[in-house]
Amino acid sequence: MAANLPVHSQVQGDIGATEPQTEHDEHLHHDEHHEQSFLTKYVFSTDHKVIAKQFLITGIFWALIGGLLSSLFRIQLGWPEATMDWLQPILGKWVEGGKLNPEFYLALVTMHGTIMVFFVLTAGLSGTFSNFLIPLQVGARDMASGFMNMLSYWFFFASGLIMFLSLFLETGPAAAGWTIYPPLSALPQAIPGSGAGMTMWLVSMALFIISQLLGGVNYITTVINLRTRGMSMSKLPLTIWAFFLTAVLGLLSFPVLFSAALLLIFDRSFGTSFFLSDIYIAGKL
Amino acid sequence: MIALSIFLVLVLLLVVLGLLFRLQILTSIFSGSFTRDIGLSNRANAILMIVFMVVGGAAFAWSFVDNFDKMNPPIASIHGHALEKMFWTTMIILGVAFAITQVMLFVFSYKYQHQDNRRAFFFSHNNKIEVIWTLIPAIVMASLVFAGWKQWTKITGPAPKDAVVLEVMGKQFNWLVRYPGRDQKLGVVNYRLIDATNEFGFDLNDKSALDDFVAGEIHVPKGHPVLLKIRSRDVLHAVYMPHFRVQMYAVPGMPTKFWFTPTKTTDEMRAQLGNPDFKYELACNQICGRGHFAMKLNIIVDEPDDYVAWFGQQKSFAEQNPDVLASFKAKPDKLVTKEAAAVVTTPASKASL
Repeated sequence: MAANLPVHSQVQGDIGATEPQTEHDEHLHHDEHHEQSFLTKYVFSTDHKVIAKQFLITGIFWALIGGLLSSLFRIQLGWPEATMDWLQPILGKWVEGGKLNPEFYLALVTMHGTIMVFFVLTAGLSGTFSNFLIPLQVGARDMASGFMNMLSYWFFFASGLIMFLSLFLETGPAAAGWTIYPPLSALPQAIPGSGAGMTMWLVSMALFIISQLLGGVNYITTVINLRTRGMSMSKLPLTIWAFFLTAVLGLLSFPVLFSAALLLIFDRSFGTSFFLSDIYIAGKL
Repeated sequence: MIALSIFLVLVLLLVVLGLLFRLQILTSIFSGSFTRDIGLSNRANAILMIVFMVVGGAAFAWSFVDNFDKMNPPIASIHGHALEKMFWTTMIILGVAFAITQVMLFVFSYKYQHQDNRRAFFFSHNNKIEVIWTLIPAIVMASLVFAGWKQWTKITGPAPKDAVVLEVMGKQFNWLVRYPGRDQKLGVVNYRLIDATNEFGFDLNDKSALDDFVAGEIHVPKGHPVLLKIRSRDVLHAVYMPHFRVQMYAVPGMPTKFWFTPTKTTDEMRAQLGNPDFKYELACNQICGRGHFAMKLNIIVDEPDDYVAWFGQQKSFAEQNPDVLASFKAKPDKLVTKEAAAVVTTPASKASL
């Protein structure tokens, strides 16, 4: 952590060279005396590099889980004749007669897609690299709001926790495909994973979207407002352009996803019928 | 086989962990706290780039050729040929660009590998190149999109007036199909009337519904446009007929449609493929639950005369279920059609089929 200060001052010294030296020293002086507890320094850190590492480790963890899930359903798909009884110690009742339970198979596919796209790609890759590189490559001291950045990670953590717990439900995790089309995802009678598993998926996604909106606003603000003197938009490295436009697209599209998820939540729990009409299922209207 | 693949996965996992460890060493070199000369491994990797290109390219080509027939079932509809033409045009354009860029990627990585006496040539930007490599793809893509849009409007446009109409309904986990009978009009159905016997929800108080019949498999006449009315009873399904290049979602509460013209009878296709057991199929193409993988219906393409003969032999639903008909007669206002029911009627067609 002590390596932070020299790097920052070097960047500022090279590019923003007109600040008087005394102000610089006072600034550094001030930081050196600022004592942080273990929690605020390492756990709820507002430093963009620490947060980036948090995203990275969590992203790696989720990549391993996602890869494991895909291995399971690919073993079933690639060798349909083979028995999967040897997985019974891990999967328990989800292995029936040497084959994966068909609904569990769909749940594996769903969770693999969800985890890979949202937790690994969006949080683990985009979150890690945007957080780490944007301040460094635009010449800023840190992200526009370290506090929002910290919240962004911990909302992601909470969302991941709920998704992880949903894997162990009795009725199974969400199983309607990672695009969770209703009515399959809205009706527990259609597939068991659309019961508690789907509810937890939706809660997890809501928290995840909040995390991404917090992060996205941060990235955009930093790129637009905190570029150092002389760093015009056209001098920005392409990586920063990529992160910037990704954040813009995310900011435009995640609220839409959230509203669709909200419609689904209402259909499932509050008796509305945004996605449900003219349905006869399991012997009932 | 499984054991082998699991073993490979474990080996790769160890490789990943090893690389992560190596990353740590590399970052410390980068930050200047640890120096090491660029050694043999860089040259080895440069050669591996070429090896990867050759081996990978060969594997890709072999796999493509080996699976070609599986990826390209013979086309059995008119619009299928147009789609095929567009598909291969796009593939060739993309394929040429792909081959050039991939070869350049690997060859240049090898050719310009690190050499102690050589530094990379740096130039910040070149506006002329950027304009060229933006304009050319833009023009190519615009033309592909335009051609595609033209085809799309033709395919999704209104069906010819003399099309044979039939309704396909998806449910967990099979397909049900009904024909409009002699009056060429599909009768009213209402989901509120569905039960174990009346799976479609026929409203037998509607006159057009009296001669509708349910079939166990789809029959269509060769060379004649066919309009599929598509609906679903519970969750999203999708009608997928690969040989006819047909796909359309089945949405509960929102009937959809797709029309096509079959060009090969089942017998002709059997002769062409040399497979006497071949059957055209309608498979479900949207995850719908436990039985999705097995949800299919057979399709038979008949010569027009055979189709008319088959059509004439079918007995209507009302005829086959007189007790259901009786229950409707007893309650003449049982869900009368004046309600906002799921009305599915087609304009009376004048075909002889």
